[in-house]
Amino acid sequence: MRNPEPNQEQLVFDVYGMVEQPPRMVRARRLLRQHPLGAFGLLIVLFVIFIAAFGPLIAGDAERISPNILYNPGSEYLFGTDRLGRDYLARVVAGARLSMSLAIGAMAIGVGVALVLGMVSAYAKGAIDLFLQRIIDMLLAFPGLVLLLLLSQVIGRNWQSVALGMGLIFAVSMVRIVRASTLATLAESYVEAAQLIGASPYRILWRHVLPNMGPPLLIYVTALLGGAILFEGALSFLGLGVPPPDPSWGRMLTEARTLWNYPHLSIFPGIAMTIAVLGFNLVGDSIRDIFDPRMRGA
Amino acid sequence: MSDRNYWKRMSRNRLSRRGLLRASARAGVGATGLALVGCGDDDDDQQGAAQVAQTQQDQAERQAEQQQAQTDTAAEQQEQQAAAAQAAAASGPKQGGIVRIVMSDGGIFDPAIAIHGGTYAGVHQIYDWINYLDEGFVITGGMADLPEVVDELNFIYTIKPNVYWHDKPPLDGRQFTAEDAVFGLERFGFDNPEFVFKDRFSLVEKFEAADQFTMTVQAREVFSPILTAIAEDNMLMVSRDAVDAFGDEALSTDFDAQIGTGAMMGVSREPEVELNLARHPNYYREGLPYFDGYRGIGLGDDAVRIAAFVNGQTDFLNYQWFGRPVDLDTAIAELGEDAVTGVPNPVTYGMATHIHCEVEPYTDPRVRNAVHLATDREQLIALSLGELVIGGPIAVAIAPYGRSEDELRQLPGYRSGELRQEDLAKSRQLLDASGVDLNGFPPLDIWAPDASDYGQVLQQNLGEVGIEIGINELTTNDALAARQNREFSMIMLGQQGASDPDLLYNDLHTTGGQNYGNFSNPEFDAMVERGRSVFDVEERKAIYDEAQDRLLNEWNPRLYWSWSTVIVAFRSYLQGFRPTPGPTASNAILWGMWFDDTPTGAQS
Amino acid sequence: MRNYIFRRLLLLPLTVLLLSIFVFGLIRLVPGSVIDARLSAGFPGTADADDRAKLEAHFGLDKPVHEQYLTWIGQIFTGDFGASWLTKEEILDNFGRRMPVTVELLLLTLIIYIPLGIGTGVWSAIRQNRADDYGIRLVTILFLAIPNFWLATLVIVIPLVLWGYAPPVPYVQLWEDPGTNLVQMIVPAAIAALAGAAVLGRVARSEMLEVLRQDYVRTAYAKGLNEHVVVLRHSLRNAMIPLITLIGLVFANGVAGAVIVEQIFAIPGMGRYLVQALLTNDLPVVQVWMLIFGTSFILINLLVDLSYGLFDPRIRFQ
Repeated sequence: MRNPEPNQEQLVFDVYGMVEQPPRMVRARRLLRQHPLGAFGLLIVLFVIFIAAFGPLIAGDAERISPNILYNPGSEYLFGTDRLGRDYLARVVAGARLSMSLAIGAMAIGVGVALVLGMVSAYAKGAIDLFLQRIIDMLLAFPGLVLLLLLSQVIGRNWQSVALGMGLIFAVSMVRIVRASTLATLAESYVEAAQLIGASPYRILWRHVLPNMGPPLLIYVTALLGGAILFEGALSFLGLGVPPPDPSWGRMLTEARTLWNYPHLSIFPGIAMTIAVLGFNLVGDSIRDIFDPRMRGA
Repeated sequence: MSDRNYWKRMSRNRLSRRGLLRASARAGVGATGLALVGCGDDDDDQQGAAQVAQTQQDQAERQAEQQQAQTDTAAEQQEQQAAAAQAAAASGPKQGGIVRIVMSDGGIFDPAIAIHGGTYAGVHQIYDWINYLDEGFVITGGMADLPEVVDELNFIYTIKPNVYWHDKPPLDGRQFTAEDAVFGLERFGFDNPEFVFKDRFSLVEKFEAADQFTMTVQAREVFSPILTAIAEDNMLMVSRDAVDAFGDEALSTDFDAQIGTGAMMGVSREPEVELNLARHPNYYREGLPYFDGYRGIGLGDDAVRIAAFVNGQTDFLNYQWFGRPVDLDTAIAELGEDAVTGVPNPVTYGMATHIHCEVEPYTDPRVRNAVHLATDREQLIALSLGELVIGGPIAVAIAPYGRSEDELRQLPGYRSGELRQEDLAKSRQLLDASGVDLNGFPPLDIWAPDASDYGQVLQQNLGEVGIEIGINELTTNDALAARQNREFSMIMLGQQGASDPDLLYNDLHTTGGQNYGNFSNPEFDAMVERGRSVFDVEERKAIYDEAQDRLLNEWNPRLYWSWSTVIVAFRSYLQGFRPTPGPTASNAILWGMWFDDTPTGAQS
Repeated sequence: MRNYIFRRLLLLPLTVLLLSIFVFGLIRLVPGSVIDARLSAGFPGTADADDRAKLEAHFGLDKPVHEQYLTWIGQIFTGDFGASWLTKEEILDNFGRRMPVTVELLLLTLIIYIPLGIGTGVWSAIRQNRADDYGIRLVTILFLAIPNFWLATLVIVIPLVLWGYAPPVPYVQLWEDPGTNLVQMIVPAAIAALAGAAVLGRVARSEMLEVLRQDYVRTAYAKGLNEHVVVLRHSLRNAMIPLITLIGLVFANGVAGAVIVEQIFAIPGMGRYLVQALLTNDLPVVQVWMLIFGTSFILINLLVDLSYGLFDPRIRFQ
């Protein structure tokens, strides 16, 4: 027989910030202890972010071509060199920066677009809502990868446009959540009251609707951050990812697929990618546990 | 931790630069054969006809002589001796076995429409040529002997008497006649928007069947590449009967409509998955082919392709025009050097850099020349890991006109070490003299991602003489559009060669179809105009040598630096491979090949 | 209920029409076209402008976009789905050949995916916050994190290097040689299933956790029923209902996975068809693919929505 977690309720209320809480640090520590996997994931994410931010400063130039082609890992080059004689360590590290930029960029675009479309759709109701929802229906009819393949053909090929493409795909999957959450909030009596006293739609959306959006979106966003990195890999594999000389992990992995004699070319970016995605997913998994409305019941 | 140098390993393998050189030497030889075909202003016609009548054995002898003459280093001679010993040890060709080839099935079979490496390999087995281009683009007798040259405008092809169509309705194995040849050639010019070789015979007045085995060709004006055009690897003969019975569309898509005179007959096809062909028992080359059948295996992915080869499920590592040296390296690491044979096969495409001669600062030939001198070809080529060889205006495969890497390395702009420093100094001088603003160069357009790495190197090279140039990456389509619309200053993109040095006319003549840089020079125009009116090979070579020299040292309308080479790799139990350079490197490789030792999977 | 179905069915043509416009429009925005592939052999850019113009006219690309659209949609209505511009093969023929292959792959994926996902999810839920829960979650999330094309490459390369084993080629149809076919399909299916199973496991776990807290489960325990009975009879059945929602997700994920594994393992299915068409800008194929796939997905979603009512009588549609 299972007992609900003793602190579950407090945590939930914490989200809405309505109940007096123990000091922040205490809460954070307790949270981490309850979710060791999440804590582990957070550690990984922080590590990857650290590498992305400061790694390139230490590891050196990722694009400098040298005659030292395809060296194995050794004292001279810790991770070896690639087929253009570039330092692989520098490239893997620079790849972290690119992947993080992609993931965060895509996430920001996705959340932004989803918020605007979802809230407009819910607030406007009527024809606009119907039309927007049909479009979303239609877009949801395709796996993200398929849409992304098509989109990446249209919007060109540099890392910014790949991020834009992924962001739009993410937005498609989030609009519904935003809309549902907006509708729920709009139905609350205090919002109706605000409307009665003549608050502008902008103010209502900004002051009342938006703050309630946090938990449902947060669950989604963490999953998407890892997804973005994987998406980039799949795109690169199909030949539509971030083009060289930008050091993308997906592209490095794709290029290394037939160079079996040089396993370092495949292993380093492969592990880097897996670890980064793992970190995001572990965090996402725990956040889901914390916020999932079904977990509050009991 | 041992640092292995990639190129050291590569040189141990068979795809060494020396190997590439040998192949080009062979190609160089082949071209002597062209002299036999081309006949001349200076020779009288009868002599020309007699030359044409010489047997292929004669050609082979000449080739052997020439080859000996061209191999100058001891190491190369040793390798040749080893190869000869190997050939002697082999007990001669054997009949039997089904050769298993990787393919990427592109779909369209109609030779007038499409070139897709994968399907085309199959098409080349089903159909055959009147004449075809052998090693080094030597015109060689196919279903017809080499043409009798009546005069500069008239040629007579005699069809061999033992050529038969495949034994399938509606042709039912009937004889191949001059009528068939006329239809087959004329069809390429039919008014169908999908037919892509329409212009090939625009200078032909008419094809005519004089009798059952005699076809005459009459040209509208003197045009020396015409015999090459008839022998190009797309010029496969389809039948009027099949077109009438199945329709034009079926010839593209319907496997049952594929009835030719080639070495193999169609058996079955599952699109993208497999293609099965069987030996044509009535093939006109007596005793050939040695293989009982052909099995195309559809594999799209590189890793699986290599795995299937290593694992013994395919006999060839790659489909034509797609042999990457690094793949061979991988296969050798798994199977050992003796189990795999890799042969470099020069082709006529590569990377080039177009310069727009009407855009500042490139209007000044001195600036163009300075860019040419500053470019480090060795470094650019090294990036390709063997996929490119150093090249000049005419591809090395087009012998005897194209220049080999070694010849080019002696020239300014291609030199390395101390001599390169001289070139760089000269380059700086030229830039000084021209008074150009070194920081004012418009950005270099790059076909991304394929040319990105090369673009970076060129940028570095130009930096060495003080030119600050930015890079502008373009997608394939944008790059093509920019070039087509002449909206570039300098653009790095692929270039496609042809089977004849006349490609320079197309590329750079004031009215040339692909003169994207709007280069215009009366002297050059006169040269290439003369080149296409002269039949004698020696004389033509002199013309094109001069043109190439002046292009490289004086005019520099393009920055020439590479042509591709393809490594055709297969299991060593296969014998009798001949490299057949061409636009797609897919000609004749299979007729003369045989299994020295037939592996289990390939038994019929 | 009837009203709801009626409304949804009424909206269906509208969505499909939007779909067709969207697909058609988006594809027209893709720069370049299959003509490049048709006109050039190895390297692009050898054709001259005349040839290009003629081919464009031949394919109707010279007309205004709306005219092109009307022609196309008109042909679709008469059942003419057109032919590929690259291979000239009838698109419907191609679909007929490829559909069963991908369906087989998806079914195999499902067979692996559902027991794996639900099994791990349920196990994880019963053992919440114990070592096996953490272990299972870590492993499933790890599998979710490995790029599938890399995993596929490893699965090809490692057995080859160690034992000289490679999957048999070329692809063999199920009805020709079921044994070989299964050998060829099982690995790609497993790779496509792994990531999905992790998602399913995650959902199954939280559903299960919720159900396990319900009063009737507590009652069942109180009655002294053993854990197996409680979990399998009382809890899992109820936890299953929300999982139906995932069927649509499975379908979409499966196709996305198929795009990658079909490409690698040379399986002549729908995913590979789309990728090849996309990479060569084979417009008619991409259009029809998107249209057919999108429509069937919308239908599946509709069926899923309606099936809630069947599974759970409490759900009423307005």
